[in-house]
Amino acid sequence: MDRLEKINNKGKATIVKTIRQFSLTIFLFSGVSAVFYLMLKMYQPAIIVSVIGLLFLLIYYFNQKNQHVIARIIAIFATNLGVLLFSVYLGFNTGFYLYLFASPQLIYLMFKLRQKKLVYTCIGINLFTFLIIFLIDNYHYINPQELAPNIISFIYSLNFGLSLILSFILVAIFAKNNKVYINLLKDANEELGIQQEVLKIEIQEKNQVNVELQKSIKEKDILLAEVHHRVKNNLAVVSGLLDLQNVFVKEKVISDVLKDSKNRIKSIALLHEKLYVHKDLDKIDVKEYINELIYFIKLSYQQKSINIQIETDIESIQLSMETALPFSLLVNELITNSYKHAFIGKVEGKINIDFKKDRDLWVFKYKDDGLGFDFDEKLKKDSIGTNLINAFASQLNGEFINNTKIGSGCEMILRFNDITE
Amino acid sequence: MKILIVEDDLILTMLNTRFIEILGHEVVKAIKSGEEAIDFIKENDVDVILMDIRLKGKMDGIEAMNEINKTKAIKAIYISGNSDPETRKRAEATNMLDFCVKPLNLEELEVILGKIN
Repeated sequence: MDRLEKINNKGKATIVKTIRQFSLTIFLFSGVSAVFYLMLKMYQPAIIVSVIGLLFLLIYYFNQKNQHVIARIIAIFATNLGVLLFSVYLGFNTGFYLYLFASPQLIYLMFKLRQKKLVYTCIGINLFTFLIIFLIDNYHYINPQELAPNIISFIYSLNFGLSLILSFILVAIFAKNNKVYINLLKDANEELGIQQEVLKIEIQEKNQVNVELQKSIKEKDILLAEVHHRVKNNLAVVSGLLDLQNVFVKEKVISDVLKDSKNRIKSIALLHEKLYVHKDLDKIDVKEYINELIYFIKLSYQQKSINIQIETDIESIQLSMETALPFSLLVNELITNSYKHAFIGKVEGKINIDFKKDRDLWVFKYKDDGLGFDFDEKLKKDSIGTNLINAFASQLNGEFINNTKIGSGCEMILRFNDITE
Repeated sequence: MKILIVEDDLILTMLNTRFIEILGHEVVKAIKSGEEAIDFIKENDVDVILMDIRLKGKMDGIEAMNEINKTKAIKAIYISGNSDPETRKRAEATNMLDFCVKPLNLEELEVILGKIN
């Protein structure tokens, strides 16, 4: 429960308490008045005052039952009805209408000042009652009880005095209630001031933590960039050493081994580069990666005597580092294998690479129209390239379909999902 | 062709020097920082600068090239481990011949230098 709600509830309780006290006072006063009228054998005013007294008892009842709106409506109704009946019965000159001038204070007590519509309606009802009393008296629509002038004067004086006292009492209660309200607001303000100070300190502390966190993130970013830089420099050194060594190697077999190793390192370095560039730092866009890989393999193995066309149909798919590493090395091995062995003796060749999403799985299709080979036989013969293809396909933990046959080119299909999922 | 190498890693400097020599060009000097490169270019003429982007010192390779290009229109072959779009854009705004991602291969360097010939 917030502070404002607490103040409202306390204010509401004060009003309820005031109405309860007021209704009981009027009820007791009505009782005394009824007895007084009965002793004077004035039965009609006794009945009127009894009805009014009962109405105020009803107000007390509804107030206790928390039916505050009904209680307040009855209070307004009972006040106006009492004044109207007494004025009509005993005449305008007896001054019962004076109570109507005390009732605005009652209205202010019963309703909150901000409930303007209700307050104005109640004041309007009072004025309307006063107008009716005045018209009835002025135009003699109903003739009042004939009373001796000294009695009229006495009742007028009594009503004048009582209405004045009532007004003072109501104003005093109103002032007391207001004081309660002001004190509550003062306390609340003090408490809010303390809370504001506490919040200010908390915000300062959080800002400080935020600054430290930002600093820590920046330091980690610098560290990460440094790690990436060193990894790439080290890979560049290894790749460069292999490249340099290859210049001085005369035997083709050794040269091929060095070139293959250098390209494997290049494919890993490319992967690191793509990983660093990607915003998420744990995903790699395969489309861009494969296209760059193809460019570098072409640079290494392209022979002037063979025209090899590579057609790709690759969707923009994001792979995690765990999946991308074996996948990239698999693609590297397949393209390298085709360049080295598939088109021997041919003048042209074609490679197709497809990589698409099919429902929940990624489907990678690789095909060349080269000489083809016996995959199982090569596996048995410990061909490094074929063994690596098999190992990377197994690592991707998918469905591996190999249609490669001697004389019908290479065709491999791999359906897989992210290893981390 | 006279080539200046700006690289803060000694082994990579050695490797790139050998690559350039194998391809029949001359390495006029190997320098570790952008500031040194700016000073060297003031006194010497070179055809191409093989420029690493991340360098020792306050200046990176692209900033050094910006300074060099204020007085001399020498082309740069950038070598970087980081080809993020922002770095590439900054490099392209200078007198750039090519942008290579590490590791730099002999074949790749041959193709790039072939563009000048």
